[in-house]
Formats: sequence, C-alpha cells, structure tokens
Amino acid sequence: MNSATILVVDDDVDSGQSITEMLESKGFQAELALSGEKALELLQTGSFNLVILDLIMPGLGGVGTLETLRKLGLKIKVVILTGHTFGNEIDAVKAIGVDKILRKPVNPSELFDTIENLFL
Amino acid sequence: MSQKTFNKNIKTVRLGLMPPLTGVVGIYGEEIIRAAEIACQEVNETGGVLNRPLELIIEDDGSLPDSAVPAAEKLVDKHRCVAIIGNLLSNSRIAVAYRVADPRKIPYLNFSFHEGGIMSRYFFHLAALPNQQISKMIPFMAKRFGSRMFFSGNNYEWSRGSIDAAKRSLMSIGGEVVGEQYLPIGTDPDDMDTLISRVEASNPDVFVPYFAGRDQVELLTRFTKKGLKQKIAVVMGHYDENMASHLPSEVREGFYSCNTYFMSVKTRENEELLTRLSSYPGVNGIWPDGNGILTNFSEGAYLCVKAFALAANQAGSLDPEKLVDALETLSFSGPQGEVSIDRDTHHSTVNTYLTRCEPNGCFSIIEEFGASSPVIPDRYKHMGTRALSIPDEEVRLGARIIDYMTEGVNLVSVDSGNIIFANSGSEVLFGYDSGEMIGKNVSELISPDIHTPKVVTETINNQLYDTGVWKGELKYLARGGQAFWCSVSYSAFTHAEHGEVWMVVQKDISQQKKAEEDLEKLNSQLEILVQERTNELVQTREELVKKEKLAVLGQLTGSVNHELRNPLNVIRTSMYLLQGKCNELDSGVKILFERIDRNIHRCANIVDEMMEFSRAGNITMEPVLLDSWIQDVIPDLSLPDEVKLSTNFSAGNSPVAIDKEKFFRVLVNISDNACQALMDFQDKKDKRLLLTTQVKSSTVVITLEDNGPGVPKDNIKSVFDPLYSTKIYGVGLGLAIVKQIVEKHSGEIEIENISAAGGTRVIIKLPIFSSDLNSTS
Repeated sequence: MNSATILVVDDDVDSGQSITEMLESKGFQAELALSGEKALELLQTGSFNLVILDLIMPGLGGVGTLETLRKLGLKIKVVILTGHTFGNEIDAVKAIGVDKILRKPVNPSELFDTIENLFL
Repeated sequence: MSQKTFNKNIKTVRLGLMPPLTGVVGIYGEEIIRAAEIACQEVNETGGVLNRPLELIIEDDGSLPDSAVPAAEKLVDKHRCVAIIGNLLSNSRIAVAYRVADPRKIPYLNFSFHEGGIMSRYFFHLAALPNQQISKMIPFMAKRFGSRMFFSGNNYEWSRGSIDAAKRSLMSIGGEVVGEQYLPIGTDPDDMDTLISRVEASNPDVFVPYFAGRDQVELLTRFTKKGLKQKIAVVMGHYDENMASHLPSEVREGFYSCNTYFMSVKTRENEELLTRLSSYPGVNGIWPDGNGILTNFSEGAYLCVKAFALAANQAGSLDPEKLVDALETLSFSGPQGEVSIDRDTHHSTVNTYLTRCEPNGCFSIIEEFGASSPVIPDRYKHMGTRALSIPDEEVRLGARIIDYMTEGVNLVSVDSGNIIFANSGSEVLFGYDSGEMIGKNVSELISPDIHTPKVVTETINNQLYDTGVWKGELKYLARGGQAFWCSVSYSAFTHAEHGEVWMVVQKDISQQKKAEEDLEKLNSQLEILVQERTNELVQTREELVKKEKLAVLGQLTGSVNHELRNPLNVIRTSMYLLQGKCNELDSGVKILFERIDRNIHRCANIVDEMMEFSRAGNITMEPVLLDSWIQDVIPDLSLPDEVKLSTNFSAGNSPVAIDKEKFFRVLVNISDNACQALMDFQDKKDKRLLLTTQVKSSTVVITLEDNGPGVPKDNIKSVFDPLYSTKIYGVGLGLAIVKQIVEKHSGEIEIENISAAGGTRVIIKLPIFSSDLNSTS
C-alpha cells in the first residue's frame, strides 16, 4: 500500500514540503509541485497514483489544474487539501468531482486514513 | 277758558311727552299724561309760552329703549318739539339722552327718580337722586327697625345702582348687609319663593326689594302670604299709590316708601293739583275714593312742564342753548314743595318724605326730611360732576370712546387701591355687571397663581412712583374665577375729584398668549422630534458602521481563514515529523506536543467562528415544526457526557420558518455556551440543561436553561455583542452569531439570570409561520 506515488501541489513551499516529508516518513513516494502548471507537466511525464491538491494558488490554481487534468483524461485520484471551508472553489471542485476534500490544518492520521481508504 | 286767551292762528309751542303707555311700567302712563296736561293747562291760563299756547305732543315710550328712542326722534324730527319730557325707566332715559337729545341739542327733562348715570348739558332731572331718597330712608329704617338689611332686585342698572347707594348708606352708619341677590326681569315665581326663603333665613331687620313692575307686585304678594310682614320691615324707593292700587289691602298695608311726592303731602300747590285732577275728564274721584291717582312720576311730569314754560319765558326764547341756560338757574314751587335746579349737575334740590301704606292705599307721612340738594353718586363721578355749560366735543368724544372701546379702562384711587371707575369694556372683560367693579380693590382682580397680588401691586406701584408709567402683562381673574391674560398699562394723573389716580388700561391678550403657549408646545415637541431623529440617525450611523465593520470583517475573514490555515497546516505536519524524529518521547515532551496540537485546533476554531459570523446574514428559510426538528438534531449538538439534558416540547402544531443550517448553529452555540459555563463551574456536580418550546400569542418561544453560575450582572447586556467573551477560548462571536441569525428570522433573543443563586435562561421568540405572509429572507 505504501507503493502509491503521490504528487503534492502547493504554492506554499513550507506547506508543500512538510506534507511531502510527512508522506515520505510514512513510506510513500511523494513529489512536490509548487504550481498547477508544474503539476500538470509532472503528471503527464511521471506516473502518480494520487494528487493532493491545494486550491488557492497563483496561475492556474487548484480548480484550473483539476479541470485540465480531467480534460486530459488522466485517471488519477485527487484529494483536495485546502484552508477553505466553503466558497466558489469548493463548489467548483465538488461539481467536477474529487475523491476527498480535507481542510488544513490536517490531522496527519486523517490524511493517512484517507489515502489508505482510497487504495484499499 | 284758557283757549280763549290765544288767537287761533297763533302757532303753538310744542313740547314732547313720552309716558310709558305700554310695557312693564305702562300703569303710570295715564297719570303722567293727566298731570302734564294739568300743568300745560295752568301754563296756558297764565299766558302760555312766549305768548303762544303750549301744546303737549304725546308719544308712548313703550317702557323700552327700542321704542323710546324712535318716539323721541319722532317728537323732535317730525313734530318739531322744542324740548322733550319723559322716560320712566333708566335704560330708555339713558338711550334718549345720549342718542336723541344730545346729538340734536334738544333740552330733555326727566321726571323719574334715578341712580344718577346721566350727565349732559341738555339733560335736566326733576326727581330724586339716591342721596335724596335712599340715603334718607336707609338710616331712618335702620334707626327705627334695626341695621341688618337684605337687598334684592332685578339684575339691571337701576336696581344695582340703587342697591349700591343703599349699601353705601347702610355702611356709613355701621349697618350690616345680611344678604344680596339679583334676579332677571320677569323672574320665575319659584325663584321668587326661593329668594323669600333666603330672606327669611337671613332674618334681617329690614328687607329692601328693588324689583320692577310685575316682579315687585309678585314679590310683595308672596312675601305677605308667607307672613313675613310682621317679622321684617320692608322699605322701597318705588312703592307708591299706583302700585298700591293694584294690590289687595292686606298686601299693600304696612310697607314703607320714601320719595319726593305722595298724594298726602300738605302743600297749597298739591291741593290745587288734586282739585284740578278731580275734575279732569275721566276721573271719578281722588284716590282712594276714585281713580284719580298721582305719584312721584306724575308730579315730576307736572314739574317738567312747569319748568320748561318758566325757563322759556325767562329766556324769552325757544333757542335750545338759551333754554338750557335758563333751566340751569330755575327755582319754583311745586306740589312737593320748593324745587330748584342745580346749575352744576342739572339735577334738582327736591323734598323727601317717608311714608307707610295704609290698608286703604293711602300713604301716611311718617317723616318729612325737607329739601336736599342733589349729589351724584361716586359710581358716576367719572362722568364729571358738572354738566358742561359749553359743550366740549373733544371731552364728550373721549368719554364716548372710553365707554365703547373694547379695552378695559379702570381708574384706581392711589390711596386706597380701590376702583373708582370701570368702563363697560372692563366690565365685559371681567364679567361684572354695570357698576359692580366700583369699590373693588384693584388687587382683587389679579390672579394669585404666579405672584401674590400684593407683590404684583407693589412692583407696579414702585415703578409708578418712579416713572409715572407701568406697562406689562398681567394674569387676571374674571368674576367666575377663570384666568385670562391682559396687556396692561398704568399711568398716573391727578383727577379733579379723586386726587391722585391711576388709569389702568387692559387689553385682553389671552388668545395671543394661547397662541404663544401653543407655539412653545409645538417648539418643544419639535425639539423632541429632532432629538428622536438625531438619536435614530446616531443609531443608524452606529448600525451602518457596525455593518461596514462586519463587511470588512467578512472580507478579511475569507482571506485570513485561508492564510492562517496554511501556516497552521505547516505547524501541524512539521510537528508530526518532529514527533517521528524524537525516538523516545518522554512524558514531558508528549505533553508539549499535545499542547501545540490543541492550540492549532483552537486557532482553526477561531477562524471558523469568524467565518460563520460574516456569513450569518444569508439565510434560506422553510417552514418547520420546531419540536420534531429539535428532537432530530439534539444528538448532533454533541453535549458533554457530564451534562444531562431534559426537554419539554409543546409547540407541536405551530410551524416557524427557519434556515435549518443556521438555526442549528444557534442551538449549537447556545448549548455550547451553556455547557461551557457548566463545565467551568467545577463545584457543580449535577450539571443540567432544560430545553423547552411553547406557544405564546403569535410566537413560538424556545428557552434553554442551565443551572450554571449565571452571568455577572454587569455583563448580561453585552453577551450578544460581537467580540465580547469571558471565555478563555474563542473570539466571542458565538452569541453574536446567534443574535444575528435570530434577528434574520424576525425573532427576538434575551438572556436572563434565573435567580440570585444562579442559572441562566436564554429565550428565543420566533414568529409563527403563516402561509399568507411572505417569509422573509
């Protein structure tokens, strides 16, 4: 189960790195993309099982990234991890369809449980 | 025989005569004509007037001014009479003097005793003034029967003027007025009986009635029938042979009368007059044996005719001014005795007799007072004590203006403060009858409710002594007690008769005052309105500021929420990593990690609360039966295990419109708040909540009670304010959110302490949903 390769997308370096490291500490392979554009690039070249996607980012942003990702037909699981609790972005990603929405600050065990459940 | 003396072609000298042939004193008409005709006959027998026959032209005065004035005008204007005689009643006499004789400059002679209210160059009076009648009879009666007297009469000038004179006379000898009452002319017999009962109850020594005509007959009859004649002496100035002839003997007998002439007077002239009367056509004998009656009125008419003829012959002219001059110095013998006209007053020195009526209607002379000169009563002194020998138009005009002006004019004696003159404007203003204000102290008129009349009067006096003038506004009291405002001026001057006097002119400004007061009232109302509006504006402004703050807060909250959650996330994940790197977690380090984690959670809650508050305004309502809905959501409230909740729902069938999500927040927040208080109240073992619903008028009332420590009194008003918190954790938006949501539901929320011992009750009232009302959003 720890074989999943996870792409963390977060424009906040500290945030992205801490999540990535946390995932790695649990035995996942994790990579960090600091923007939506960078994430799409990596997704098209590498092989990832899961994207942990922040919503509010400069450039394409979370929603834009998700939309493009779906348009490209990439079959990949997506977990939204955001400081937002409601608002247009939440509504938008719900409409597109994601596997889970988690709120920052995330409880590590909740995050791990979520990943576990997605790959059972 | 007299007619033979004159050539038929000689034009007669016409003298007008106005007896009352009809109306209230109509009974005297015939005797007046008879006496005047006898006098005319005598004049013509001795050469007539300027060698021309004297002719009487007779017009009925109708006992009323309205008929007397046209009669006088007819005599002068149509019949070209050079002088007129007449008018028994005062009101007719005054009207004829000022409306006919004065403007036409026609000598006007009068035969009727009166109160003294006429002063004119053309007016001559050949009967008694009060001092020649009343001032004689009152002391006499007082001496003989006692000095406690009751006065009564018709409510008009003659009665009031006469009684005023009688009272003054009584006062001057130290007597006592035990009663005084006035009744309208034509008084109801029942009222007459009431009066008589009052007289009887007052138990006077002497009763002095001054009623006219039939009222007097009625009074005397009822008085006699009541058997009072034996107990109370009655004296009158107008009781005579004619009136007695209309009364039964048991009624007429025993009453006293005082006047200038009675048929029983023993003079040669009277004997002659009675003799002529006995042979007058239609006379069947001298009273009481026949209908030949004379009284002071007819004797007066006889004197008037004689006086006119004597004056004209003395003057050698019919020119009015020359007639007046001659009349002013006239002196002659009449049936009553010597009569002479007073040059100053145009009234006469006459003779006075006091008599008692016998059962047969004859008047026995009890006392002869002899001749006395005329004195104008004080109440008429303002008209001057001298009939002006040269008509001064300006002065006459001034007097007329004062009489007719609507402003009040009083003359006040400086020494006594008593009113010595009040014009009719003043009498109307204060509600007094004619002459009634005379003798009153001017301070009695002042309303005592602002300053005492004494203080007011002294203030005015001080300024008057300094400057001779005072002007200001005074609050007066009318006779009936009603207050009114006047603009008043006082000025001092020296009066020929009264010395130092103040002239007080009063102008009624009650209406202006009222308008001023209304204006003031309006102004203060306006001020209140302005204050209210200002308060509203301040409140609106505060609300706007609050809204603006909240809007800014809302905007901020969105970004703060996001911006804070990212670093919190970093802290949490980093902490997780740090935990992993510490191989052996001793208990002290573990506690520190737990503390950090707890506070991360706390920060997240704070931003959540802020978010909730900024979003509370947007609600979507639907009708809900509250009882079942609350029962459904209770498990989601996540109450601590230590707290025991009991419920009592009785709003079953009354729906309310709520936004379920938002209203759930309300329940969460108030129960959280209550639980927090209970959990903090560590001494309390038994921690309870009670949630109830009930219907009250048109609302559903939800209450949540806890048995916690209660809210400190000083804080209870602030608990709903945003950013108010006594909790260690939280920003203090929990109850503010609740209030905001409840108000968005058109509801009300209150919080109160249940008792001094503790316990808090939150009360929420929501309007019952009605389908015909659009639900608010």
